[in-house]
Amino acid sequence: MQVYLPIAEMSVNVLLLIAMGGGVGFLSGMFGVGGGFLMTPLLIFAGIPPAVAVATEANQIVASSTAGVLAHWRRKTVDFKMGAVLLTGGIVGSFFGVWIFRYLREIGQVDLLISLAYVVFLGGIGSLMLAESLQTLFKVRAGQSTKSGVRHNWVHGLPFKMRFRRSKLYVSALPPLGIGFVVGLLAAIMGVGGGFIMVPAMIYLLRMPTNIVVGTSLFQILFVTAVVTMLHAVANQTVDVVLAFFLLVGGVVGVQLGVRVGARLRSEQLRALLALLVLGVCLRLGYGLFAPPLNPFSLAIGHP
Amino acid sequence: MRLSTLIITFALAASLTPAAGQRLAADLSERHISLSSNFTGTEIIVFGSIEGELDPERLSPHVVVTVSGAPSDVTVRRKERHASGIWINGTSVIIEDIPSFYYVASSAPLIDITSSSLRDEFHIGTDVLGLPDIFESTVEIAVYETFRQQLINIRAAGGTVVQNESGVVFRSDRLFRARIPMPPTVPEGTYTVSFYLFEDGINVAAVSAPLTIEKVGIEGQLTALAHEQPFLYGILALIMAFGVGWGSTLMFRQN
Repeated sequence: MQVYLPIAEMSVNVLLLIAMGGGVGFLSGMFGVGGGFLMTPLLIFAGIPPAVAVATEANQIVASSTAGVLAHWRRKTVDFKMGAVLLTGGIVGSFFGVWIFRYLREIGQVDLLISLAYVVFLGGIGSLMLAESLQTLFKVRAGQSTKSGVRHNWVHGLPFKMRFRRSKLYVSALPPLGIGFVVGLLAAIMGVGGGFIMVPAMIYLLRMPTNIVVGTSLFQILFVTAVVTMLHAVANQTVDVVLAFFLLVGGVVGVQLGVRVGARLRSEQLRALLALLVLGVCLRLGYGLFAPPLNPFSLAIGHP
Repeated sequence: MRLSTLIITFALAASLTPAAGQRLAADLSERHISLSSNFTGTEIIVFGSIEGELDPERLSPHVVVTVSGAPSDVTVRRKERHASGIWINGTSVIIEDIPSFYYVASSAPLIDITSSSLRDEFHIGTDVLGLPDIFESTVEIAVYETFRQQLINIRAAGGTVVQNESGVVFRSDRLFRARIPMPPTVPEGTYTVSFYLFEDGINVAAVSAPLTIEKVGIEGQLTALAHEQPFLYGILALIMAFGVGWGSTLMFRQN
């Protein structure tokens, strides 16, 4: 059964979309990640114009993070004050990101920007994750402790300190604003929630308690991706709701199955697998940058 | 607009049935194509007949049918290898006012039917597609020509630029017809179907008919909303996302 995607302006098989949503949802549920970093490249490989893939994925993440935030809200594991500071930075970042996106789209370089951003961030994060999880795997085998004793770092010397009760922190507002800004920028350019940057930054830079981290990051992601969706809809007209809807139909089911499978695996193994997945996507996109194009010529409607 | 084109446009404007002395009568199987969600391409049949006396002294008449529409300016970009080894979009050329869909069917090879100057005048043939009336691009003519050719090649691969030199089939001395396949990617817009009769390389008659292709149903409304009221469209996209997100928590909480 074919469905016509009104913004992507192409006809696609509905079952393919549901399968893609389900597959990425499954991996998201299994690894506990948003999945934007998998879905956007997958959409691009499937022939969706990159600008549409990024904007539509932001819309899809709004839905998946809504479910996440509701669950964490019920468990009271969201630090709303910290979330609001992260969000402030995120909104500024997303405006800036959509502005860059629009400019590069006009000069025909947005595909390059998207690919480069993916290769750099996935390559960096994937390598760190793989190194860390391999280390943990070996340490666990050798029976050593993996706890680190560091409590304070340079972040705690910065000015404009604020008290975050739920996180039990008294830190400068600058690092969360900066983290939020970067995540907002990436959300606009890469069509990701940015959890893969934000969660490690909150744990290692801000030293937030880990049980609060995920709910708070989802809270920021929910509103930043909502802002990004609006900005792309208004500035670029690249949000395809039909595409987002069918990806979500597969996604909501996939996530539930993934969570069940993930619960049976050990966390170090999960992280090593996730690292390999991230590096795989990075290599595939990197290959696309350097491989001679099948056809160097491309068309775009309108003026640059 | 050139004088001859103008005269023909006037001659055709009123009706497809031949006026006094008009030598061509033609019509299409459909005047309206709807792009709905399950659109997987279609085919229109165009047909007609040559009226009046067939001059036995002259060579056999030839018919050319063109279907073209949804014109727009197109930027053609070329990826070039950067010093770092990365392929980056480099040179770009704007081809102005080129139809998004162009199909030319004829009863013989175009070069056997008429001269290239007449073909250029009537926009007959993919080799004259996208040629400007006056060349005023900022790039050299050879570069323009390369990029124009690439645009045609890309669209030919997608089935939106086609030259079929055996597409018009005569059923008798006078009756002819042609099938025009429309790929699933055919863009919406207003199209013109033009019929030309050539005898001994001279255009002796021409008629044309409009054809509209438009998106219908929810897809058409969404496209219109996305471009005309993008803020409202964005709000709707968010409501859909919040709704699905919230709905999914309700659905799986009970299990």
